[in-house]
Amino acid sequence: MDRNVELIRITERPKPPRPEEIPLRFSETAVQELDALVSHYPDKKSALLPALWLAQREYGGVLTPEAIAEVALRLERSYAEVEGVATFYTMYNKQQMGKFMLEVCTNLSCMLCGSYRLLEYLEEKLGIRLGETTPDGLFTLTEVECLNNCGDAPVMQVGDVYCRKMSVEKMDALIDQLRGSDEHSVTRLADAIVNIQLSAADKARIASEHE
Amino acid sequence: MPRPKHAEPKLVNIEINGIALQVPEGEYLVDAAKRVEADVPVFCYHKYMEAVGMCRMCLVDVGYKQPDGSVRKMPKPQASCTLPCSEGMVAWTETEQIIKDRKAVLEFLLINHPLDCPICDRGGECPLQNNTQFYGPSTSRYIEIKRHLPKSLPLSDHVMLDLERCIQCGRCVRFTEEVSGDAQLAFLFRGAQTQPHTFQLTEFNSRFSGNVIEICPVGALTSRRYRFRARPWDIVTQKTICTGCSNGCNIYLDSRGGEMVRINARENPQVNETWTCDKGKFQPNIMRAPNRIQQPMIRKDGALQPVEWHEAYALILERFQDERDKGGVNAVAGFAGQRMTNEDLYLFQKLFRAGFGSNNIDHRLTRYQGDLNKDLYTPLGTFAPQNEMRDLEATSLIFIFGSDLIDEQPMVYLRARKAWHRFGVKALVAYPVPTEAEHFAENALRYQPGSELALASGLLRALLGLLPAEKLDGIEGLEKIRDSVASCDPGWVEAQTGVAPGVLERAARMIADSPSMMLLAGEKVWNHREAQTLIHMLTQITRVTGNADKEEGGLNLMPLAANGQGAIDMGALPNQLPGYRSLAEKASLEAVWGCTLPTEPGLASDAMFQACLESSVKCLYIAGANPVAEHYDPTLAARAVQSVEFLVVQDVLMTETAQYADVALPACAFAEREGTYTNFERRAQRTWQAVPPTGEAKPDWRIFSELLLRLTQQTPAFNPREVMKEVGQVFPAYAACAYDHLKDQGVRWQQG
Repeated sequence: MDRNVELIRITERPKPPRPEEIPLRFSETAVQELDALVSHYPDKKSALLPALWLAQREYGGVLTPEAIAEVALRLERSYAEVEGVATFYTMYNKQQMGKFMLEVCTNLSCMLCGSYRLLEYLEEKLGIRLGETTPDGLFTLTEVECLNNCGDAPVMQVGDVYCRKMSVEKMDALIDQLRGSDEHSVTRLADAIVNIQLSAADKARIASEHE
Repeated sequence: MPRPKHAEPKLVNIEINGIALQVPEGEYLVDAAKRVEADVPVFCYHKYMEAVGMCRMCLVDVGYKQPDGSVRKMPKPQASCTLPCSEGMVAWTETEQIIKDRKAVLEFLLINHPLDCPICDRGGECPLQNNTQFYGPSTSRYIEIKRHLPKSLPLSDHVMLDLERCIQCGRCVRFTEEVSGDAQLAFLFRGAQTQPHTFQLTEFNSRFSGNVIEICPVGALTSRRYRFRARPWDIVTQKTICTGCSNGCNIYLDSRGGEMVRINARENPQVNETWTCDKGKFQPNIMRAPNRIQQPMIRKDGALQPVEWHEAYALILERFQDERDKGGVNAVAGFAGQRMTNEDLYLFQKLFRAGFGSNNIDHRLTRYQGDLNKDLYTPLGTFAPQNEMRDLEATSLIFIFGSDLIDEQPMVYLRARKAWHRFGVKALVAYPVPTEAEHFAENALRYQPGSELALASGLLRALLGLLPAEKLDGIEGLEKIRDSVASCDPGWVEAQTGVAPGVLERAARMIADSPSMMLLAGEKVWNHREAQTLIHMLTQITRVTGNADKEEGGLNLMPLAANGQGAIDMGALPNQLPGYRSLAEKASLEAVWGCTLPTEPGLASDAMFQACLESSVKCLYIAGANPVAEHYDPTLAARAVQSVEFLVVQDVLMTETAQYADVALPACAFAEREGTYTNFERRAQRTWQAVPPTGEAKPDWRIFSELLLRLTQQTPAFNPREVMKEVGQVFPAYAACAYDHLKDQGVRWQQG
């Protein structure tokens, strides 16, 4: 409600950024990858989803307004349209997430196999509530719908890795292992999704151009 | 594919509510239902946007006739807004099931709708309110707490967003995507949180933002200007037209107690479909401008003092006649404004020609002051602007030359964009700086400012090389044209204009390959240093490409102000009588007016202002124009009005020009009087009086009429209808534009 009151108090809207005001942060590889992705479709608009994954990787796991603006600029779409797409899908992060996103499935099979107990355990262990990030910026705890792996319930996902048949002991081990790791699960997932969409020829070309 | 202009639609037999009828194939069922007056309620469907079927309000039962005569019904009701009519379709709009479905849809839409109708601007003219009244449930079964969201979120200076009222029909989002093309609004989030927004709540600065207010079927998008100023039931709605530019958009002007409160679009499929631009919709209320001239004034002791009308008339006539008798007919001059109606302009030139016996009359504020008859109409063989708005959809190439279309002709911009978006019409833009039209143009020629002529010559030369010989065969004077541009090779063009040879070649090829082309020329042509040669060059481009006599192609030199076309038609020119007659052909006019007319051509506006400086013109009458601010050379105009001996200014506002007046006369603003305007496609359209005149203001035609009466002692015209009748007598093409024929949508006059 406070936010709403605040929004109403502002009577003047800032101007939308002009193209030259947008800081472009895509790396050279990312630009090449985007070009390759765009070439898969009849028009640039169609490459919107993979382009947002690219942006999520390039901007450290979060689609900031600048990231959205950059995607819009590179695909020649309007800012609002790209923002609408980015806010529609839950896997695009609009806020900064922890280094590791712990996505615990609470759908039917996992729930029956005790995923809520695991969630509660995690909340207690990490000292955060569902949807929050630890103060050290390492872990974000979220609840997700079915991960399509009911045979191994309860399941959780960290980046592009599935952790199957989870238990309290396995959870402890996982958390310890993650604390020692220097991977960034959110960007790794984004990178994996981008890579799936690139053809082998694209990848080879981009790699060769980089040498 | 461009939409053919005269295509005969294929008709199919359908049946709605037991009534058999024929409709064009592919027409949406929701429109077909209107033909039998079956009311199908809608929220998301809009006639001028693509159908999406989001709101499910327009559900109907549909079936198809089988070969054995039976009707096979679809198992579920269908959204009639996305269902094209086809042979043998049978629809029912009022079955028990449909009535129940409508109730359910409305109950759903109202789950989170705040129902704050008593404080909502839309209350009284709200589709949601009306549909709920007619089709909705009497109560809701939902007792849960409603969703709460920001209630008055200003998106721009014009548009206020109330997120609680939004029913997510998507009309506004689709408008910005499909029609205006800036896509500044989009749906954010998903499911129950879906809301239309701008990017990061930045300003909604579309040039057509006002339209979303009108198409919103609830009170989610409201006008900040009209907010809480009136309720729909205490405003008076008057149909009229907008006089902001030469597009002549049809509008409704709503007033409350004689005060204009808002402007809404009025549907005219030929002109503005159902859109307005922000410049027109949110135009300042000129009727209540603080600097209006309230009563006639005469300069006494260095200051303008209010007087009676008859005193002002007496002084004007005394001075004008006096100076004319002393210095000849060239001692008086008249400058007509393009904001005046056809009736005003006609009587103004009659006042000068018949009353003062002078041809010193002009309306042009542009650098081009040549003879359009000689420069354009004769070589082209027709009166330009050749095309009407609808032709944009039928042509295969739109060539925008020297015009920032979105600014100069907003409705032409929208229609050109629609032609590209819907019908795949190609566009080519030539303008010194990037413009909005470049977004949909296939090719853009950005040239050095002022080098339009070099570009046009280069294009013409390239075209002569590209066009097949058989196409060029019948062109008269082809060798002369060839010689005139022989030296304009691509290298020279690049040096002159900065347009690379490759780009020029591509553009020329585009033109050469197009079966038809509409050339839209704007401000940069009118104000070019060598406008006459440039117009000649554009005429030749039109001729060699075979567009001069094509219906869906041609040259369109678009007037820049509301009635620029009317001023030419009405003969507010020094060398041309009403109806494009030269001064030599004055006999028919003399017969109607009952007087002899001068044969000596008058001064064009530049020469007129120069003569004021040199004091050979002693009396200048400026009506409805503000040359000091609007002339292409404001310094010349300012010096002229300062130095002229006796200056009469008749205008709505105390303009920069009126400051120098010796006599200032108050004229009615466009909504305070009636009349006709001729828009850029030669369509004469009526305006009606919406609000009472301010102070002692009179319509311009009445002022001229009263002056004429005092001069000629002939029975004056008592209303604009009579003036128009007289125009029809002297210019037969306008006989078709008599008031009885104009109706609501206007008539496009055709040369006889």
